[in-house]
Amino acid sequence: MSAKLQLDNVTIQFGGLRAVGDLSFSINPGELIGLIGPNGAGKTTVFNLITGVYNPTAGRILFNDIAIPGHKPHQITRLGIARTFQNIRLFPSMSVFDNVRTAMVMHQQHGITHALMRGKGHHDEEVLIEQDILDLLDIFKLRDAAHVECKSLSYGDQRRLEIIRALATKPKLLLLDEPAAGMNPTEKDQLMHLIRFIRDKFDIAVLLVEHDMKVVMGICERIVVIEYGVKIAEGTPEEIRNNPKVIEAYLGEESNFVHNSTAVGVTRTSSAKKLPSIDSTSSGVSRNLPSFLAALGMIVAFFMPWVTILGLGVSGYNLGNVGRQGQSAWLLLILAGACAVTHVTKPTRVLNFMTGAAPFALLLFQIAPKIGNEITAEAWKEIVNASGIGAWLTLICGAVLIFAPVKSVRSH
Amino acid sequence: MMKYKAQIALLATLAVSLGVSLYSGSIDDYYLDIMLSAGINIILAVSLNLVNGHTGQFSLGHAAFMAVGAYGASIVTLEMGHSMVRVFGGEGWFAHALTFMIALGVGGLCAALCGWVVGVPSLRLRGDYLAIVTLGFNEIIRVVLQNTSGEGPFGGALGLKGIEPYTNFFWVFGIAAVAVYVISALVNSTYGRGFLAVRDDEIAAESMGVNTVRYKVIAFVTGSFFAGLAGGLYAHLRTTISPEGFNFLKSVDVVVMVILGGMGSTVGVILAAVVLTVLNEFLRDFEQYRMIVFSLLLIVMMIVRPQGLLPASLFHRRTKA
Repeated sequence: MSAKLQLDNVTIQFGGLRAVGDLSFSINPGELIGLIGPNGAGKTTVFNLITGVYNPTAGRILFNDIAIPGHKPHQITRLGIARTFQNIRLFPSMSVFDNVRTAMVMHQQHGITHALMRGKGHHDEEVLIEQDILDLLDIFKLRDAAHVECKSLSYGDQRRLEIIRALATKPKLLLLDEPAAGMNPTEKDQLMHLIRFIRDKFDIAVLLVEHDMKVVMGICERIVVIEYGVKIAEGTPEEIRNNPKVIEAYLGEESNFVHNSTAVGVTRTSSAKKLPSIDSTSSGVSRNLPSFLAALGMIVAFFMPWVTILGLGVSGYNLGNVGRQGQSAWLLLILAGACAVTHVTKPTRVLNFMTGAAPFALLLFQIAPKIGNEITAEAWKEIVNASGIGAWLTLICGAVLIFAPVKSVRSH
Repeated sequence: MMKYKAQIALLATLAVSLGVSLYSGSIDDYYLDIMLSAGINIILAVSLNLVNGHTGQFSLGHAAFMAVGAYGASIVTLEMGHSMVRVFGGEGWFAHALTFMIALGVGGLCAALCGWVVGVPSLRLRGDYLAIVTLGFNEIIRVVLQNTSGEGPFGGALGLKGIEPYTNFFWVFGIAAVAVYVISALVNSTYGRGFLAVRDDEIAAESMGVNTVRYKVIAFVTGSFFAGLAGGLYAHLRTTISPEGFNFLKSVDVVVMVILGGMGSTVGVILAAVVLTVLNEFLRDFEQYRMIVFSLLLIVMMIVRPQGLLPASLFHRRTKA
């Protein structure tokens, strides 16, 4: 019996952690297999090993006698393994039709030159592809929605579209990563029918990773159970249901789960006391501040440092003995620092703070060299005159920027 | 023959631009200059749109490829132009046209080669690396050109002057038409779904059998090639070029056109290129405030209409029986 996909003693080690150890199983042509295990058992890692995201530390993965490790994901798809994702990954800017069309790219006989020449061969191929896609959509009753944007489909339909798209690569093995996640009982029933229908209609093998026991037990012919990356059982649903090891793994997890959930509950309640107060203050302020004012503040605050610099330059005032070049350099440095920090920490508040602080830093440069001497009224006047109203506007805007939650401009 | 309407449109545009160029003597020089600048900007914007808009890779160094093209083409016409004209049969228009074509081709290929050298290592990675690398490449090209010897073929900080004014209406709009045709043909085919797939979701694209690195490199090299052609046209329009003309701000100008027009929308980007070129002329009296106006425009756009003036979704096929 020639197994299509074969895993032989596959091991993968991340540093000291052995995520999958000595795992062996095989999937025969046309078989519907479930891969289950408690949380963190390594199911997704197995998935990633088969699809070429990770390379195993030891062991062999063979698909039709071709070694999978070393191939890139797109090459593995071309070998005949298609997959769906746990969190839906459609192409959001494309229509339903074009989502499926993307999978057709790999079947094209002609490449870039034909696309450029747009000759007869190209047109004929495009017509064939269009027919293929519409036929495929017809089977899954999505033809009427062919030119609808895929974002506007319902959740269940988006999941179906993802499966259709995977099927359009004409696979021999379809990997489904938790397809029932987030579905209601009716949708789950439909999904079970769909998976069985696909297997029969397209005559392909299916590997199903799933949490929902009802789905797995309902449709799989054989189930592989792993725990801590090691296979603990393999057999028909009936055998798995009565296997003491599996029961222990799941019941053990169950009791752990109960324990954990109370712990989570405790942390939730304790954090619940703190979080809302932070939330209410920030959202309260953002609601009080009209968003256009915040936007205006943002625009002004971004430009005012430069206006100040120009103002200072024109009046010939020399900041902190660094000269005009030096001033620009310092300001640039501050802004660059702002960008770097924002890039690392993500919240825009930091950028606001840094940009807002820029004018203050400039003022500091103005005052700093005078600290040694006495700061007389004349010296202050000189600073004010030299900087002009632009500088004071900048300081005010800077202050606004530091304290205003500008983040709310986009979200509200 | 609706099958071949794209090719027919291309030939028609080439014919029209040839026709106009024969009578371009009767167009006022100032307006002709604006038109030609707009045409060059169209080439730049449309080619950057393939990289930034369709493929979703953020390149910030388009001016560098323009510079490579400009210097490549100018050096060919300056150093070898005379002998080439002689070889091609003397002073007729044909010899000059052939010389210019070869020069442009050399410039474009140099730019494409640079694009390949820069793109292959940085496009293998996901994320913002391309933006950083292209930004650096832009500065490197500018600084290197600036520090070459004044007597050498690159002319140092002063740049090159006395370049033959070969650029005319036909060359600019002919090449613009070719650029638009090539890029639309690439993108509007099943083959071209790969570019959009890379932009939308690289991991999903990879799992659909799309060789994402290959697509990114093709987009980047094609974009660089047309930027090089635009550079050659620019050099032979202005007749003088200097490294300062290809600084970071020039790259930003092109990025602004793409964002303003709508990422991934060819029509929108062409419109934005024309609008910004004309706007530039209107703002000539307020040159020092120009960047402020541009920046304000960008900020307002991001707040009011982040998808651009004419977003690509406007042109999606709605229904088909």
